[in-house]
Amino acid sequence: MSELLDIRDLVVEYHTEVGTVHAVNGISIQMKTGDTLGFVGETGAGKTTTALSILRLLQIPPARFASGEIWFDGKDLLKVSEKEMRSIRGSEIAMIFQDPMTALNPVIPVGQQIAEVLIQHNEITKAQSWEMAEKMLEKVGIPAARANNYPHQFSGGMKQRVVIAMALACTPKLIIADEPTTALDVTIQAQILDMMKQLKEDSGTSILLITHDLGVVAETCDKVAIVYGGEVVEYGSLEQIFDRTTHPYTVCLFGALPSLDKKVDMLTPIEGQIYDAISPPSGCRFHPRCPHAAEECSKKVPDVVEVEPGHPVRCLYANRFYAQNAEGRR
Amino acid sequence: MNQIDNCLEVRNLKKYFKTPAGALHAVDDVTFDIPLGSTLGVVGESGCGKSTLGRVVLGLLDATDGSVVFQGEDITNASKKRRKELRTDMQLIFQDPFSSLDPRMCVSDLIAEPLHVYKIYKSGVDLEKRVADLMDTVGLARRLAYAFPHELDGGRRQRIGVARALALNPKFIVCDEPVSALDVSIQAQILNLLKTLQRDLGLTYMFITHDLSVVKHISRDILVMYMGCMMEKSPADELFEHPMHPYTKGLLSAIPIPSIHVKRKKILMKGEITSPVEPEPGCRFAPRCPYATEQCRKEMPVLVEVTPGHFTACHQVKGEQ
Amino acid sequence: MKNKKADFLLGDGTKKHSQWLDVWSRLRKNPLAMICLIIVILLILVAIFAPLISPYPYAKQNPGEKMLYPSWQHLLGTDNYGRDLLSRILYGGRISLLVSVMAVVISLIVGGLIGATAGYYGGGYDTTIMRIMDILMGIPSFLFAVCISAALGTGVVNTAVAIAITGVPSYARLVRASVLSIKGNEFIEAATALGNTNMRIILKHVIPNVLSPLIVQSTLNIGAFIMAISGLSFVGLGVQPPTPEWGSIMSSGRQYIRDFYPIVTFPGVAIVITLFAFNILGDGLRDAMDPKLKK
Repeated sequence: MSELLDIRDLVVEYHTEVGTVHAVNGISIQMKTGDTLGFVGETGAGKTTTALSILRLLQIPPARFASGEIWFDGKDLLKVSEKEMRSIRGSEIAMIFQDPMTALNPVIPVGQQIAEVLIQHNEITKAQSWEMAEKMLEKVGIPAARANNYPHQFSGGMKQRVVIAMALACTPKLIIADEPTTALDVTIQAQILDMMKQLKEDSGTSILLITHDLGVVAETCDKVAIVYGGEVVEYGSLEQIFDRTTHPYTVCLFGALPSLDKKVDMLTPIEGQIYDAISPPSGCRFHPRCPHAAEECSKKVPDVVEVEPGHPVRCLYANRFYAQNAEGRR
Repeated sequence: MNQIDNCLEVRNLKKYFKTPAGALHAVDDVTFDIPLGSTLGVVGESGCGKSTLGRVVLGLLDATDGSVVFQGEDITNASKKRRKELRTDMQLIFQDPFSSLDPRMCVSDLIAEPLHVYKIYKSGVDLEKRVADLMDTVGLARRLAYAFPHELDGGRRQRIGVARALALNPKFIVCDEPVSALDVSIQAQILNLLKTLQRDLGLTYMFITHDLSVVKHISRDILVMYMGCMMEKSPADELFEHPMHPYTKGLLSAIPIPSIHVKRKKILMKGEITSPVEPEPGCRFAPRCPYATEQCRKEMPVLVEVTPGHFTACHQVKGEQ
Repeated sequence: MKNKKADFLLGDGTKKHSQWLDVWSRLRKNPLAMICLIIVILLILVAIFAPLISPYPYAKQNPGEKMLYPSWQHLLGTDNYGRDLLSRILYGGRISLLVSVMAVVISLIVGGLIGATAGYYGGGYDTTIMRIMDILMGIPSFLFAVCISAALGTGVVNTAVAIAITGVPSYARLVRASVLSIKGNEFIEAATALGNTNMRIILKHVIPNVLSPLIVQSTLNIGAFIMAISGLSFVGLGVQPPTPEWGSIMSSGRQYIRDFYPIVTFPGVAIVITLFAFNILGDGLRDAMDPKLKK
């Protein structure tokens, strides 16, 4: 198996008082070492649930792994013991959360927070860990002298750098970044993305980047998975997704964005409401909002069609749309 | 220029907050006009004073200095009573449709609230009719009248916010980041709604956002703010074609473009925005500006009209043009 | 009229249901809370109809039947004066419930308004009010209640007022804290932007959103107040003997606690059942009043 991460048919449900929430309905993704995979979707698409499943950080109950396997580096993460999982978290798979304001402990100096991660996963002395923590901070562009400072002495962008330093501390094989720049301003986002790209080139870590921003994907990722309603509806390389967009949902996503270089009077929004995970629609989950929906779409659950090598699409008419759209959107 | 042509005229508006460390210059010397029926986009990063500006314009916060003239009337120091009357003409749409709606009120009560406050309708039937009309206008299904906000998604909640703002037939609406909390597909729905309403009802907008692509789509003119000061003001297309201020250029180059063929040279701005408490003289942007000179650090640049309609406040621009 | 309305709004036939009906339908789904509601209703009925259902007059002494254990004649036994305990407990419930509920209502309204205005307006008003509350809280509450009821005199209403005043500061604090957290929400700013008056905002938007902690606090207070009443009665203030009252029955039996259990035990059980019922009902109500939990 050459894949670093191989999620197969993951199904996660939440059992709540109001009903069963079908958050993830058979997501399968593969990542090779060194890849940056963009995991793109809207609210409720199941992005964060998938990410937390990989780290087994979901609260069980209400969450429940109904079926599926998550293979990471030859191990099925859903089967390993909690103790083993603890040693994987932080050292082999690290996570960067959306909000840097709450991801750091406010009463511990940032240097110590990084050092503690190191001590937990390595047999090193306090002095060594501190030294390494200072090095990590310098790597993310924070002077080592600030290791003694507390989180509130840093600005938002700096805090996110500290969080990234923490994630990188044990040189993990995989970093899961859940909307790492959404809470930041554009100019700071540009700095952080630039830095992440640099760090990735240096360390060769794989990154699973969860985002809703196709612009961020275009700048940082090699592969893209578009998720809707707890399923991957389209997967492919940057060129495949951006130039040979096939799934109607992906097409709509691009269409809904206000463009900087074209002047249009009205945008083309996706009609209807966001996917309801409690009572999912029958057939194709996107059909109630799909501009091309046919009668068949509400009855038949579409299979995955590989429209070209490495470009699977979950749509009944994938081949037709592929032929139409492959001319190139721009 | 004829007075009536402008819905809003703001002159040298200042808003300082007292803090233990000194005065925080949240809005510092901002001047602009918004012609009737058009949209002014106000862009800037968090903490640049754009939301404060919106609230001072509406009279929700008192101005420290300067004037706000609404339809020819100076409302800067309006009486409390007049302020309340003005609320019917000037409304606000909030950023977060999750916290700006009272969780214990249902949709129809939320929309009817402004009508109750101003006692517009005497009979309950007229009131309900108006609520139903408003729901149609903003595209909310009538069957949702008795739903609670938490049962609805972000897009529908923001439609409630729009309906509430429209209830009193205002002429001017400040939209404070109305789409930043929404998903892309829903964001487009709300932007289209706002545009349609503007066309149908002749509304004037002040559209506050940090998202440059959204502001370009919806605005006629754009005002770029940084740490309380105006950096650049220009018609929207002109701003994107010929940005002059180094800050605007940096901001534009920082937007990630959802295309793999557009290759741009990136101007990475160093450092971060700080809070303008007792700011030093000189350009506010100088500490992060790649072109800053001694003059920039000592002397505050004034806003000058470089090309017709295109204003910028930068010492370095004249040489460059 | 009704039909006309329907044309405008009721798209799919859903009726506008009053919020209280909603609360009721949600409460009904909570079996434990429903049991407790029935207990509370029974307690109230018993208090109202005590003269009709008690087997003996509550004050009738019978020296020949002192300290009897429960029997068919005296279901819960008799006390040290030979009075029927069941009758005394039934009558006692009247005073305990009436006074504690009155005290809770008074302190809730007074403390709630003080706290809500202090939290909402802030500034010097807030500081002044809350420092006064701090001073009141600094006085041991029982001592405070003794002083007030000594000044007001004995009797049901005066006792309720005395106890209510001791409860005001904690309500004021609780409400002020909740108001401060609600005030940060944008919908309060939105209401201001619509031109609402401050009072209307407090009454329509702030109070409904701080009700849940208040309800829990109130159900807990009913218990605490029952104990406070008995304390007052014990030192000769509050309700005067021979009027029975749960706390005073208990305290009169404390010297026999080693040899004769009924005098202390049965009023104690009555207090426990009352507290339990009110607390669970309070929890249930809090959940039922939260629209976010609605299906």
